[in-house]
Order: sequence, then structure tokens, then C-alpha cells
Amino acid sequence: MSIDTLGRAAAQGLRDAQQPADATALLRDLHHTRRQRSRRNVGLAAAAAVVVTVVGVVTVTERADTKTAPAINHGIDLQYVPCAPEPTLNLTCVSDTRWRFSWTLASGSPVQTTFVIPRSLQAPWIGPRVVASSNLFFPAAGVRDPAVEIMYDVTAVKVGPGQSARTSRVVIDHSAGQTLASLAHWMTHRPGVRINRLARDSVSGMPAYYLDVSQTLVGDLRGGYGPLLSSRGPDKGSRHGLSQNWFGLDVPERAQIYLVQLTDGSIAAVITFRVPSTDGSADALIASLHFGS
Amino acid sequence: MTVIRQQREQVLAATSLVQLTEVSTFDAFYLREMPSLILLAGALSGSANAEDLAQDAMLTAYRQWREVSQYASPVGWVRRVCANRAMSALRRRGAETRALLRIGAPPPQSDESPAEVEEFWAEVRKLPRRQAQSVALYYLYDLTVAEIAETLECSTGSVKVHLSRGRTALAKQFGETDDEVAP
Repeated sequence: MSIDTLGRAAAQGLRDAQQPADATALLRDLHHTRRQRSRRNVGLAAAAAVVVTVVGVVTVTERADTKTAPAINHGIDLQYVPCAPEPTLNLTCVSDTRWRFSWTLASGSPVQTTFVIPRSLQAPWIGPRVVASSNLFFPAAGVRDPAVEIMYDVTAVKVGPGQSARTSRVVIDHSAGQTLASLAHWMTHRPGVRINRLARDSVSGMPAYYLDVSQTLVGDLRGGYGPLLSSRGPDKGSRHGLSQNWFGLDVPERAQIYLVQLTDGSIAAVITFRVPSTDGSADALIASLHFGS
Repeated sequence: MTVIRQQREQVLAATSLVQLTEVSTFDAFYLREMPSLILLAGALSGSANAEDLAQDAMLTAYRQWREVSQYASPVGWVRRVCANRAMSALRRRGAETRALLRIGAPPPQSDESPAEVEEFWAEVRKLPRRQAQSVALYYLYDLTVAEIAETLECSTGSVKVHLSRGRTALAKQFGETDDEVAP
């Protein structure tokens, strides 16, 4: 069978499987939406006029914290919870959007890091499923890229012996070494990983490497990409066939990664995803993050 | 006669009835093209919200209808908008799925379609953006290379390259033969 025969059969299959659309009802919805947006635009314009007037006479010195958490609407029941103390993880909150974590390395030495997440980002927390060594932050408007993931005490990983990326059993790749430079350069030799930019840098005065990377190998979320980095935190495990805290690139993702050497010598990875990231917004997002001890 | 043409004729018949009540040219355009636009959105995004994606594209067309209606091919324009949005939605969903897998939530499910049909379109969605769009337009609408080029606003040479690479990748994936694309 030729690919054309297959393609046309698949197209026909899609048509057959498609639920008949009530175009008339959809058209009615469209006009309804358009009218709603028109009204909202008028309302916003009026509100903007009021704000301009108020700002003209009042000097605003500090924006009030947003205490209400907008719902994340992406079809999955994720719930955003503003930063809340979590004693078991030594998590304390400086404010709703300022997080302080401490974690204990294998050596036993506690490390504290504080970072500030831009107000536009929120973290998906699901009840008790708090991930201690890898934290993911999404825009408040919904689960969209660019998102930011922060991983502590990262190490290079590879698929374990006798395993595949699909089973996601990863082991430390000791060939990468444990220095910032060796880890950064190890990534440049990963199969399918294209390095768009690699540069030495610094974050909050700490030595760092910046990598702009994309994946060229075709694959899917569960099977196609290989693991790159994982955290050696306390929450190792496997859910849905994937270790919950390893990082890999999917096609056609592009990510900006900062590998930051913290004061205790461990390496943190700050990663933004954007597909594709060509407009610099991911860089701007990273630039707005702050690390400090 | 393809099913698409049958659908179009049915919708056109319905449209002609509606036109008696003096709906706008946009409404006629909408009723004619919306079903096939949903098909394109579904094929490229693999998403249950194909209707929303197609609706968004139509809403964009409506806002600029005075200009869009003057284009040589308004339907090509709205298909391009829809195809771009579908691919963007797919990528957003990719990031979302990976994130959800990491934090332990079940990944979103795609539409219910026969396994072999879903398998084919899933492979199409893994192709690079332009290749996926070219392949989808080619098979879903039976468009020629020139029509795809006009829709995607690129040269026929580019479309030939995208189609060739896309079909070669698909043929390799499915162990099929790759025929030449007619211009």
C-alpha cells in the first residue's frame, strides 16, 4: 500500500469519525462571542479612562499583592495554591510569589535558595503532591508556554541498562562529570540535541552556563526523547512511566537552560520551555528570576 | 465525489436557504467552510477542542472580513490561520502533557477515532510544522501543490519539499512506499 492510499484512507476515516457540526449553532455562538467582546472592549476602554484619571492624581508606590488565584483552565483539574508553608519540605513563603526552599544533599548539608517568581506565573500544586526538588511554574492564564521549571541538585542522566526512554528508568551518567562546565558540554553531545547557543554567564553573582537547546529527533512525549537532567532530590519515583523529575526535550521544543552553581557547589537548572522560542520572551522570563541564599 | 464535496453541497444548499433571509456574506462563508475547517483543526491538533480552534480562526476572519473577503482566496486565508493555531495548540498541549506527567496528573486524551486513523494523524502531528500542514491540506482537501502554496503563502517549490519530506517520513514510519506528488 502506498502512503497516498494510507493518507487518503486516514483522511476519510477522520471525516467519518467527525461528529456532524451544527454550523448554524456555531455561527450563532460566534456572533454572541463577538458581541460580548465588543461590550467588554467598551467596558475596558471606559475603565482604562478612569484609571488614567486616577493615576494622574495619585502616586502609586507599590502594587498590592494579588491574593486571589485565578483558575487555571486547561481541562485538567489542577489547582493553584499560593505559596504555603510545607514543613516536611522546609518550604517557607516570603510572599505569595516568593518561595524559599531548603533541601538536604546526600552529604547532609542543608541548602537554602530563595527565588522570586514573576507575578504572571503560578505553580501547579496538586494537594499533597508537592515536588520538592523540581518545581514547575506556569503562566496564570493557563498551562501555556513559556513555563519555568527549577530543578535543584541536578545531574546528568541517561536511560538505564535494559530500559528505554518509554519506561523512563534513568540512571546517573557519570561520564558527564560534576562540574558546571563538564555538565554543560556533556549536553552538547547528546543524541538529537541541537545547541543553538552555549555561553558562560552568571546568575545573581553565581557562575552559570546558558544553553539554548532544541531537539531534532522525532519522537513523542513518552517514547521519543531521552532524559537529560534529573534532580537528586528526595522525591525520586516513577509516575505514569516517567520519573517525575527528569528533564528531556520533546520535538519540536526549544528550551533555555541556565545551569547555576549554588554556593554549596551543587548545580541548579532553571529551564524555560517555549515552542519555538525565537522571540526572546523566555530569556526575559529567566532574567526576571532571582536566586539568592 | 468526495465526502467533503457532498458536505459542501449540503451546506451550500442550506446556505442558499439562509441567504434568502439576507445573512451576510460572512455567514455564508462560515456555513460553507466551518465543517471542513474543524476537520483541519482536528487533524493538526489532535485535540478535542477542534471546534474551538476553528471558531477562533473564523472569529479572526470575521473581525477582518472587510479585508479578508477581498482576498483572492478567503478560504485559503482562514485555513492558514486555523492550521497555524492548531499547530500552536498542539505544542502548548505538548508542554502541558509533559508537565502533567511530571506532576503526576493523567495526560489529556485525544479524540476518539479508529486506532489506525489516529495513528496516521498522530504521526503527521510529529512532523515539522510546515510539513504537517502541507500533508494535512493535501490529504484532507485534495489540494494541489499550487493550492497548498497559496494557502500557506509559500512557493510551490517549498510545498513540494515539505510534502516530499513529510510523506517520506510517514512512509518510513508505516513501512509503505512513497509515490511522487503530482504538481
